[in-house]
Amino acid sequence: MDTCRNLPAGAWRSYSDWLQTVVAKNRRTDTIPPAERAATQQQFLAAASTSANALAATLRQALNCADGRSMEIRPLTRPLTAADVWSPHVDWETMLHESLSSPGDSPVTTRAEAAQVLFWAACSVAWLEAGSLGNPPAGLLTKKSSAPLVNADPNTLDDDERLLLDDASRDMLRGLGGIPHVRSGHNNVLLDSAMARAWWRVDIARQAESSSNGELSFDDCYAAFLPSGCWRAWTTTAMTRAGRLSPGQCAAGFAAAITNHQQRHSEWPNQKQAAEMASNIVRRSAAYYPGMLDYRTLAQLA
Amino acid sequence: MSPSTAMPESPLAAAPVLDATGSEPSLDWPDGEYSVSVAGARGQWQVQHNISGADGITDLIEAGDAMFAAEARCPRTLFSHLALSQSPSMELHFDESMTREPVFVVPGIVAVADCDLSTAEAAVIWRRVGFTVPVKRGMWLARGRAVKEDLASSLLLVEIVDFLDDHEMSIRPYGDQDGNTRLQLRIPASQQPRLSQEAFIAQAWQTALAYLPSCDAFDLDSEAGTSNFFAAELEAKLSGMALWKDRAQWDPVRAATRLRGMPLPAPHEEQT
Repeated sequence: MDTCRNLPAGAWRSYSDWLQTVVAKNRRTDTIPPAERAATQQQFLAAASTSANALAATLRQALNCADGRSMEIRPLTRPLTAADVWSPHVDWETMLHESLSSPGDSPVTTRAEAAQVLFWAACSVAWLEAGSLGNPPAGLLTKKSSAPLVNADPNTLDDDERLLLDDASRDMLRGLGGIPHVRSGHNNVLLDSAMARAWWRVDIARQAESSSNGELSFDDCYAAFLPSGCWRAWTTTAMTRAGRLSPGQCAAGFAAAITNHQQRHSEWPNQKQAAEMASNIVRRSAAYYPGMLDYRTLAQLA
Repeated sequence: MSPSTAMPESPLAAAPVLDATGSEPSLDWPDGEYSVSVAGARGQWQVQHNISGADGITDLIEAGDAMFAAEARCPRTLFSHLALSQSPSMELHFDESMTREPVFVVPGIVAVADCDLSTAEAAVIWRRVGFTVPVKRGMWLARGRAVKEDLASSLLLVEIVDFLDDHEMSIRPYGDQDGNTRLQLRIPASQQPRLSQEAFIAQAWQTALAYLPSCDAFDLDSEAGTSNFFAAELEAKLSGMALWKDRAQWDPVRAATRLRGMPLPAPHEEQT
């Protein structure tokens, strides 16, 4: 899909080209001259440090829709803060999911949309313009302060300074939806963007709750997917292996196994342990359609 | 349940499977045959199952304990939908808006109730006392190969552009939102009518594949393997051939015609 919602046809091509002007896939093999790259990053970071509207205008230009058209994205019911974004929590992640999923003027968000970098870029524009992502938004998108370097002459920057600009730019682009030419794969959006991660985590926890016939609470399921290692392990395994873990019973089984581990060891499993649990479910249920199995059976397989 | 504790005994028992997914015939049912044809796209698929020589399975279907099945799976959206039918000829419909490519269709025969499977015709290792084995609901009794949208329809994209002269064409890598890279053939509007000509498309494929050795996104030499879905797909489809990482041996014309055969001229064209 080259576009989404009300973005023009070709929006992805335009946005993708812009992303590649801001950051290279690999710093070491970057073919753009360092001063030229730094100047582009300074421009981008300056917009984010100036105001929400300045960053929104930069993104609109990148998306080839500077005509002021509506993004057709629902507003957030309350603004996000930097503290929210840097500390994932059920309150704001649920708020974000409900804002995008409750009835209203714009279409309800589907998983097919939420899997797109472009969708989260459109959300970013809409929410920046609504003042929901801080003003200026820089502190909400990166912890790295590059303010002193933004107005420096790009030709006089040393390697460390250019690295800081590059790191801050990458952080921000990830927060705005992701940088697929840097991190590829089906789960790039779910790992890169705090907003996308929030929506998906709540959506998957709800699916797990309903697939357990109410035996697992939403809070329990959400808590199991909250530790970053567990989330990364689940998305990486579920979104590869030809989607074998797609039925909701698998998410419920994984959540139950994670919870069980936490109760027995008084700590959440690390990423390696969680990845092994997800892989065990795939491997040991291979002879079955997991959507017909009880989530407790799948949890035992972990 | 954690890796640090002893592994529990699996709660899922094994049973013979009529497996048509590998290159070898199923060893569990020596006289059994299962084949399946899957056709369709965009949320509308027709699935035709054929089974013979495994009466234990067909008996379960007749009794309503097993059914013909086709699962649609989308790893990108974690979408899964299972269609069931008592008839070997079935349809699989799902809302395409719930998916993003790739979508897999996985056909088979699945137990829909806990039951006993007669193993009188199964391989000797399954012939236990009473010639039955218990089968749990959800078990695949027969499995067909997963089908997904044909690579040939999605690797090469065409874009109409206005900056090329009428006789010019251009090709470039095109990264999608998943970080996968395809090839984009750019042509002027004046060339658009030729897109319906098979020979033109075949030639475009040959040209596109000739470009791969110089395209970083299709690099196969990474230690971790390529992360580009299309490079991996292409590598699998062209197994047995020298690939583009070997520039001297890479034959883009043969590769293109293996993916999409060059059309033979019609008889009246040969005479002229």
